[in-house]
Amino acid sequence: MANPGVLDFNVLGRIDSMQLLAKVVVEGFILGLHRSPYRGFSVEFAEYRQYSPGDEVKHVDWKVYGKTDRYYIKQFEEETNLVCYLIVDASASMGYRSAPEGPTKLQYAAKMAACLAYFMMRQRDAAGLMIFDTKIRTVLPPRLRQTHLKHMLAALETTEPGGETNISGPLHELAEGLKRKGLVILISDLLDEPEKVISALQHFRFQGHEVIVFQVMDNGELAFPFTTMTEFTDLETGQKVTVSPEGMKPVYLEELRQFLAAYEKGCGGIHAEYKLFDTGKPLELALSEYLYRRSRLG
Amino acid sequence: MSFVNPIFLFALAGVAVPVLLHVLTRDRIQHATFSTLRFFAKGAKLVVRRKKFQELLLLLLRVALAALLAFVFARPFFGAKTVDTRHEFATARVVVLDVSGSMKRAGLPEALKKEAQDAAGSLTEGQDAAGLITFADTPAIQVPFGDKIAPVKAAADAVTPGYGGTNIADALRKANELLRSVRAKQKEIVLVSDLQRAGWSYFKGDWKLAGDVKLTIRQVKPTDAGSGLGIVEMSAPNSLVLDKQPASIAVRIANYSDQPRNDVDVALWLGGQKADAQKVNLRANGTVAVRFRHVFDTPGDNPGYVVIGSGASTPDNTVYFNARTIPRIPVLLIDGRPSPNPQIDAAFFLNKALVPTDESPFVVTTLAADKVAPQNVAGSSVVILANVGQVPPPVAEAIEALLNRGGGVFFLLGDQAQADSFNSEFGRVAPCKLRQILQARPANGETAESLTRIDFDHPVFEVFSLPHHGDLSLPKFARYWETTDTQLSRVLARFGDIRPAILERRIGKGVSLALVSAIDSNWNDFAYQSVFLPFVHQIVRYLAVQTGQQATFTSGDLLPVPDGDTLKDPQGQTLTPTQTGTKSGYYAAQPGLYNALNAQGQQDFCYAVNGNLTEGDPATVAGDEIAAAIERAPDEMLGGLDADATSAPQQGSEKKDAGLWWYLLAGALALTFAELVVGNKTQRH
Repeated sequence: MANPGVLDFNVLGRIDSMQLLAKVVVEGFILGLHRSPYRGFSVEFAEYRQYSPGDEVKHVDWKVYGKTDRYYIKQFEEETNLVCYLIVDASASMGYRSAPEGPTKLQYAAKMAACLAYFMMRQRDAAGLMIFDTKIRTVLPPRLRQTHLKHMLAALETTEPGGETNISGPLHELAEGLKRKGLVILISDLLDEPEKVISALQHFRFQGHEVIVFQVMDNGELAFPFTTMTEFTDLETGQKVTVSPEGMKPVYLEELRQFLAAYEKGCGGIHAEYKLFDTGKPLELALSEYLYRRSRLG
Repeated sequence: MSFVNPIFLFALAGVAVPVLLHVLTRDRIQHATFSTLRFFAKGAKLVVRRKKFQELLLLLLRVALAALLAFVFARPFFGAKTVDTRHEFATARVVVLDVSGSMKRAGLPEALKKEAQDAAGSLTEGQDAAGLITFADTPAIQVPFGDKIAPVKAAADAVTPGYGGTNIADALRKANELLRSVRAKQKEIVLVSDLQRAGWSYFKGDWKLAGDVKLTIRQVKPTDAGSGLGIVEMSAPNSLVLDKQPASIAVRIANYSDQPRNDVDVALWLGGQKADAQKVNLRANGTVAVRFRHVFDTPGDNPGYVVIGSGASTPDNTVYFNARTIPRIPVLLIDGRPSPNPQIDAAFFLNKALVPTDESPFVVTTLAADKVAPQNVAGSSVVILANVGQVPPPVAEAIEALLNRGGGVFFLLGDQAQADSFNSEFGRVAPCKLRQILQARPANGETAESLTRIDFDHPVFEVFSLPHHGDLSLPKFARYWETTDTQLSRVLARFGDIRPAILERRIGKGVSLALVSAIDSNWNDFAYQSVFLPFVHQIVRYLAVQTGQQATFTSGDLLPVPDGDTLKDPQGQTLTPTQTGTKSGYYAAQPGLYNALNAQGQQDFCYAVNGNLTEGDPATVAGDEIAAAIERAPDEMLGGLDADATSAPQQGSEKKDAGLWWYLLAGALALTFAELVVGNKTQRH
């Protein structure tokens, strides 16, 4: 089974009750009411469905007709056409956490990726995992096998925050390498130039992928709760700067607001889903809220 | 500087409190890693620098506040500088030297120095303390009170009498103040003066010396009694209209001796030439007025002087003046009711009176009230509103502007005026407001009112004061306006029923006059009287010239030299502006004629400066009289409003000290406010 360090079964249990609704086109990324648009007849029996005009007569289950005197179509669940690419940022900035007892952004992102991978696998969608910092560190191509989930969880479990953030480069590289169009889920703090990142995401859109961006930020980054004169050290560059937080806070928050707004607007511009996650907020709550909102939209 | 409560100076140690607070509570720099610095890299240094600056500013404000509060409670005052108030001296002495104009008489400057040196010389360096004050009209501390004797001797040696008046009382009071904060076995004031009686006249008897202060008076006397004559008063025109009329220059000469003086020469000098001379006889201790009449027909400055005796002109026997003449006066006559019937047209009579011949000093422009434009008013020195009810609003504003810049306005009020509209339109520029038109009440066989209670001291009516110089009681007034709101005005003449007839009010730099009856045969017969013409001329001349630039000053005055001009003193030396207090400018140190030259080196203005004319009076007051008036008997108590000079608020320098304390207090309050603001900002940043 998956590594419990990454895969939080409590989370999974609570999310299990949710029904994930796809808003748009990506085939297969639909849970519940429309699990997969490609229902086949070759692999595994799924369910019966009442016959409706237009269905091929050859799929009518005559035995059931004999018993019930009604026409039912026998449906099978086939290997999905949906391919989901989970792309996780493992740059040094992702190793930040403001509260010692809280998760780092990378831990939070790994849990999120694990949960999503689990769901994909459970509804028989192929999920792949890419981990990058300045370059692509790990690539696990989309598979449907249970063992593949284990590999992904292991990779997430063992990932440590690395070098500087260079999101756009690896994303362009990945976009070039993905053969099948599918769903691209980017989990990152996006601490890079928004224009470059949006440009890279647009690359995925050009390739026909649906794109979802989960931006993970620490609560300390969002609220800037510092109160005394502090010398800050950049996790990625090692650069130091001394700041009087009381005076700096309005400047910081305004800069941050503009930064986040740039991503939200940029993603909207390329028709990509965007969601900001606060590591101070429980993962299941954040995911549930997102999925619920998405279901309402769908 | 000394302190009333020097014990509070220990509170200066309180400045350590904000320093300690600053050290103890200053921000300790903490260290933290952060995901990125991209959001505050731009403003970080600025914010830190600003915070550090604010903290430093806050510290300085708090330190300054603590120090200022200590000073406020210690109550500093100027005077006894550089003296150790804890040390007890054997003798503390303030030498008070008279440097007024009367001390320039023969032998007095030398005697002054000698007595001053003696007073300072008897003190011992290290044991005694001393200060030196000189005085004329006001006292001035030349050497602050201290334990050094040498500076006092040096200053005493350099002292020179000036041309100012004498005020002994203020000088003694100042000296008493210097002594009040010093501890000494013997406190003493040494007054060196000629004890001119006029110089003691300022003493009101409302204060006395401190009980432990002894007054020693060293009277000095001139070696030569001099001429015994002096000019005690002078009257000369400050500004004249350029015409053929003679102007008066009058002086009053006093004989200070006990012997009559006959055939005393008195001469009028103009432009370096003796223009006139008279011989006068003076009784013993008597005075006589001498008047010269002269036609000033040169435009601009007419500097001159009157000198007694046949000798050279000296500041003692000479008074200076400058009778400036101005060219023909532009007069705007606004006719409120033009009429083909001259009997009821005020403009007709006024025009005839103002311009009887081509040589009139006036240039009169007559316009109907509805034809007047603001530029007509602006181009005039005097505006006459003859029976005007109302004028366009811009014209009313122009009239107000004319008054503010020094012009004159003369209202002749008739039936065109409506009380309400006049009061609202001209209320700010007229000397009165109007209530109603009154009919004269016949009484004692008279059918109309006459002018009574005429103010013959006023320049307009001065010429009518002598017999056969115009009878202003002849005009009969059948109708006139009843006035109100005349509190700010001077009533120059009244009707028989005591109601004001002619009023004057100063507005801005100008003057507004009103005759509350029209020049109209239905109202009065003024225009038919012979006194009408000189009356109108006097009024308009007065309105035109009374605001002329002041040309006569007293030594010590600040001369209003225009920017860019240079000033030559009576000897022809170029002066430089001097700083006195907060004012910088040209101060007239000595009597004489000062000339301001413009940038091209041409004569711009001449200032006539005279010394204090009372300084010629050699009458003295006895030293015992002064001592008896201000020395306190050992058992004498002070009561009521009597001012104990050692403690009660005093005038002059005491006011300055009180002012200093208030400034300090205001400074402390300002610092408190600043500390609150900066502290609040620093907290928030």
